[in-house]
Amino acid sequence: MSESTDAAASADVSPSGEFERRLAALSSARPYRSYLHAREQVLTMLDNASRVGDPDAAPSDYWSGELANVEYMLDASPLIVDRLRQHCYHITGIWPYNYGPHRERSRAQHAAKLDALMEAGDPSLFVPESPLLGGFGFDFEQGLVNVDTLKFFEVLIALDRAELLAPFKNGSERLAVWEIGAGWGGFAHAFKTLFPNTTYVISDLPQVYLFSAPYLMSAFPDATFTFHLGDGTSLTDEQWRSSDFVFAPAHALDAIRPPRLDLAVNMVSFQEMTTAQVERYVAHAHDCEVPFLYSLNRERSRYNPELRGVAAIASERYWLHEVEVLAVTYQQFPDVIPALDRGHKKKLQQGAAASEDRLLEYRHLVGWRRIST
Amino acid sequence: MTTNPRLVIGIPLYRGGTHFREALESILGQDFRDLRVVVTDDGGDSAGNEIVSEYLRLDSRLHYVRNERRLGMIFNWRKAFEQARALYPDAPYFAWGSDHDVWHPHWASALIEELDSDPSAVLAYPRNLGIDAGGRPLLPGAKAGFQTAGVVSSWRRLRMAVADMAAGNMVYGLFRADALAACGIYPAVLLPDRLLLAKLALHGAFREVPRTLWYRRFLVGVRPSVMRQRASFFPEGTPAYARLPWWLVHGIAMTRALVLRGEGKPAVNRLRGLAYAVGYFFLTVDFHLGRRKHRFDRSWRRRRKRLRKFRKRVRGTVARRVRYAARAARRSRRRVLGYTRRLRRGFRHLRHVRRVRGGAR
Repeated sequence: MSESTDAAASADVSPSGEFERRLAALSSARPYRSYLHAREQVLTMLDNASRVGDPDAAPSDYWSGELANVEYMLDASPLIVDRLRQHCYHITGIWPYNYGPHRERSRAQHAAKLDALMEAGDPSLFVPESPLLGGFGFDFEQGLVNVDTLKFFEVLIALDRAELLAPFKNGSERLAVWEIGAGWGGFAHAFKTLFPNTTYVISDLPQVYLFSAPYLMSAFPDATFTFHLGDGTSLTDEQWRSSDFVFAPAHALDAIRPPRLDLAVNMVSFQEMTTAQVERYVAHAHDCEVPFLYSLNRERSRYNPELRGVAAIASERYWLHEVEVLAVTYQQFPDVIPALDRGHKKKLQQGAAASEDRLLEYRHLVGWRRIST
Repeated sequence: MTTNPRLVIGIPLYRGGTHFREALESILGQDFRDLRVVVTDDGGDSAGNEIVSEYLRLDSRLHYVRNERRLGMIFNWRKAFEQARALYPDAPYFAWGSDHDVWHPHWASALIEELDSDPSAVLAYPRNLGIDAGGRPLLPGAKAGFQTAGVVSSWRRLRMAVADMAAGNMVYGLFRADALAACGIYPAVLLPDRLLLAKLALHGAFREVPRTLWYRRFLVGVRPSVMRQRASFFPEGTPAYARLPWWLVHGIAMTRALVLRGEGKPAVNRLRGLAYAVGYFFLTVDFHLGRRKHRFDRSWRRRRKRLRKFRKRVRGTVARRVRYAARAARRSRRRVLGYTRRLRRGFRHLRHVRRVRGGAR
């Protein structure tokens, strides 16, 4: 009887039959299984967070609103997980629609910026967007390219200019990177692709792990993933060393004490936190003796009045140095990228981009740990 | 903690300044931990003393010496090295620090690795980036420097050094302490870094690490100049020889060092040293004239650019005035023609009236 039912089902070529088959295949595929596993961990983290009740770990007003928009991810279907990247709009603000075939001008602008970055830095640091889980972008010779792809490339160039990537390029020693607010895991994917011998620690709000965890687990099927549930326990040194990715939620900051941390990274995230949260992260990095802190943020976001200033807070524990990559920020896509030379810098100093305006621009800042605070 | 560190950094201090804390921390915060730091304070103000006292409590690798009287920059630089040698005579490497520049945390490890890899090298230095008082880069990236790695001939190394060295940057590199001692450390002349590095080139190779590991701070209103050097090098009055052209003094100093003192040995004996000293003199003269020409060319280019702009403006003004005058002239001509036409019409009308009246009579 069941054989005949199966035979009948497989012979059913109607759209609904096709849909059922596809859904069944997606349900048993790795990405969805990863999502289910991540969701289980996230729910436990949320339970533990409510028990711990750390007010500093609570999201800012801005993020509270954003998290309400992604509540549906707690019950995502296999179809949503299969197109996970296209749901990352809530985190990044980037629509796949903006990368359609009708966007010729945008395509040319992206191409110009990619060329400028290739010239400004080491082309081997470029990692294109993966087509995994609905990856999107303009299709160039180098691969899929979107705003995030170019942002990550620019960040890697900035880190290289600041001479922070040399130990990672060496690859002989297992190093550790801590990303604060990893979003959908794009930079983690790029970094781990370039420097596989790294333990990548991600601190974020638990709900955001519903994006980054399935994505990374699908992109690196052979990697080791560890979820810290924020229950007051600590990971052993061996767990830190052997894990490729460690997800430690925001309220479990004190549990992040690996044997070593070589670099702390934050991109477009500090600016959306409260002063207390940024101070907490920076102080923790300093306590853990993280030698370098990298930030790509505005000094403060227009939509976040709860923050004193990213560089103002970070400079209390780290000596900050600005690194310049291009004459435009990562969000700007002019038709022609101006050259970053003395003439351009002179115009900036003389023009309207005075100190107050610069605070609203994105800056690559590299911090060296202070001895005396 | 070992008593024989591999690296000693001597910081000749005069004034604490706004940036001394950052400079000192960048040196103490090196990832290469087997180093010592010796600060020789030339007594500019108490700010430096206070900052160093604070770090003496935090880091036992730091030593502090205050000069009893002001020595001036050159002798304070010498004292920094001599003090380092006295405290740690077996330390193979030495470097000078400053009170306002910044050292990348990987600076020491990268340069030591470079010198360890080449026993014939006497100096390793990184690429550097200029920064302003606020720490912002003045240019987006660092330019490549030069090196004499693999050059066996000491004369060729000397020629390359005189032609291409950026002495002001390279003197903050990492030295082999023995080679530095053999060169007489820091000569009491103007542009002493050039002379020191020229002498050092005879002893071994210079190696450049192609990484930006040193940040040179340029402060507003502070420009290197010969007058400024005289004031800071010789606080008790400029000696007579320091008023002579620097290239002449360098030639004499090189002759004295190589021929009379034999500082070039074992690489260069006294006889060869004489030839090198004469050659060095001509190289230095050539460099000096070339620099003057370059400065003259640069200022002439600037003047020519200004002249062109002025001419363009004047031409523009004159052309504009001519155009306005022509327009005004055309307007006046039209007006005059209009009046003439009206007058003629009037006269014609009068004639017509007279004819008619005359016919009627």
